[in-house]
Amino acid sequence: MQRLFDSSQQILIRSHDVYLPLVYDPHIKEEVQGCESVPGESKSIVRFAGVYFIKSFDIFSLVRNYRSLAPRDYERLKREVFEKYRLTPHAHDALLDEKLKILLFRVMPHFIRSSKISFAGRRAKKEGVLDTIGERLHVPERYYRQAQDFMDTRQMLRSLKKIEGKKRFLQPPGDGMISGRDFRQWLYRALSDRILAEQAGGLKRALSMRSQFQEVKAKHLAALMYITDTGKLEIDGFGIIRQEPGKEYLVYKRTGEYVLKDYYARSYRFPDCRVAVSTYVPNRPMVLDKYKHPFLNGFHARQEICLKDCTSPGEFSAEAIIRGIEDGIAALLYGYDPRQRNGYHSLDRTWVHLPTIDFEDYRIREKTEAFHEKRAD
Amino acid sequence: MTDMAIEKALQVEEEEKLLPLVVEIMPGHAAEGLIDIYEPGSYTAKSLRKLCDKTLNRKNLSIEERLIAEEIKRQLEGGRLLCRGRDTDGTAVEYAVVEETEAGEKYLYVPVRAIKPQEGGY
Repeated sequence: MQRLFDSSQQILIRSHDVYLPLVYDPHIKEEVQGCESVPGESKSIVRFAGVYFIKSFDIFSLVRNYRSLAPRDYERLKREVFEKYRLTPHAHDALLDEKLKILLFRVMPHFIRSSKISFAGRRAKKEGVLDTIGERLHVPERYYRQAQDFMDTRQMLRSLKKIEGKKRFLQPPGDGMISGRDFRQWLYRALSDRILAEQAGGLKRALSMRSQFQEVKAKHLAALMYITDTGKLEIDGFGIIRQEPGKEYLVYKRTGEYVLKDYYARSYRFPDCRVAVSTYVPNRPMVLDKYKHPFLNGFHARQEICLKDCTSPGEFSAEAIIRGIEDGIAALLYGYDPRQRNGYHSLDRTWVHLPTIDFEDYRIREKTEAFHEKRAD
Repeated sequence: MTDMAIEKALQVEEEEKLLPLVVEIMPGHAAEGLIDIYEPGSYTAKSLRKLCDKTLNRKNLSIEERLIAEEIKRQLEGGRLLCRGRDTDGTAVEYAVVEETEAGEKYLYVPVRAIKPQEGGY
């Protein structure tokens, strides 16, 4: 295509389609005559000034897809346009994706205490989620500077004014013959126009997004930028981890230590673990850490908890995430029935004990029991 | 235990009796729930279960409290109330711990969870 654009080769424009000269040899002669004899159909081969041309591509399709067809040339042109109009590339990505917003503002408040008890009004004025995040998350200093830059829209407004003041060029070349070089000139003008329109659209979206955060304090904005950047946070045992690639997240809550009893009412202290669900499948809670439990098949990380019924609907929503995590924690802490031994493994060793997973290291030994064991030694 | 230590323990016990009692019923593993505050002397010898029933039957709930109450009700369908992993049959004081408000006022706090059983395994 570049050779075509660099040449004085004539091409034909007809109704926004580009027709390139057809190489005419005896093999094609018959085929061409066949096409010419069919009346009423739109012709893929036309004859103009004694020369045959074949329909090749739509000029607007070329403009729309040029970025994929010739990415280097497109980027070079983009840099030239930015330089010519003194534009600065801006990050137009959303500050928070939709899922992260739901996790922070609807799921997290369920699991985190946001206000202390006060006798004056039963509960003190509720802190916002952003206050909670801002106070309990240690945000590096540079994010506060980034937050201030983020809200400075002066440069963006100047760029947008510049772009919108420019005359648009969208007229296609007229029907008839045109050289490859002239066609390239038209193409580059059309592409410049498209680049400017995209930049204007991006700037408007970015300005709109910034207007949503106008009331947000700088410290809150810094915290949100930090979370967006790192893709994770943990506050009071509740946490979020972004899964790469894509915009899916693991959402978890720590159980803390807890005690289960076996068939003989002996106690077993289980360590803290993180019960998590994925935003992709919120109805399958799992334990993130390397862990063992009667409801976990093995002793390794990321095991799905064996549940009879999970009340979480399968599709992502705040309620689905909350239910999934609640069901997982409730199963681990309260679901084991020592009489039925209803798990992959039993807490106590049964007489048909199969050497699978053992929980003896979790047993809380009574003082007398420990004394007798020591005497036996 | 020395005489002084016994005396101190009794003094602390007496002081605790003068503290208000805060019972909070939380649905599942939520961080916040329905709160009721009882003046000193009004909860002595009463079972925690009875105090919880009183809280759950409260009228004039705010919109937020109504949502929490609905969630508690859902959890209690086939579920039960647990305080620190135990049933709520004992007196409220047995389960209480001393906490402080931001203003430094002490109170006895009893967290109760409404847990719907989630059967695991097979």
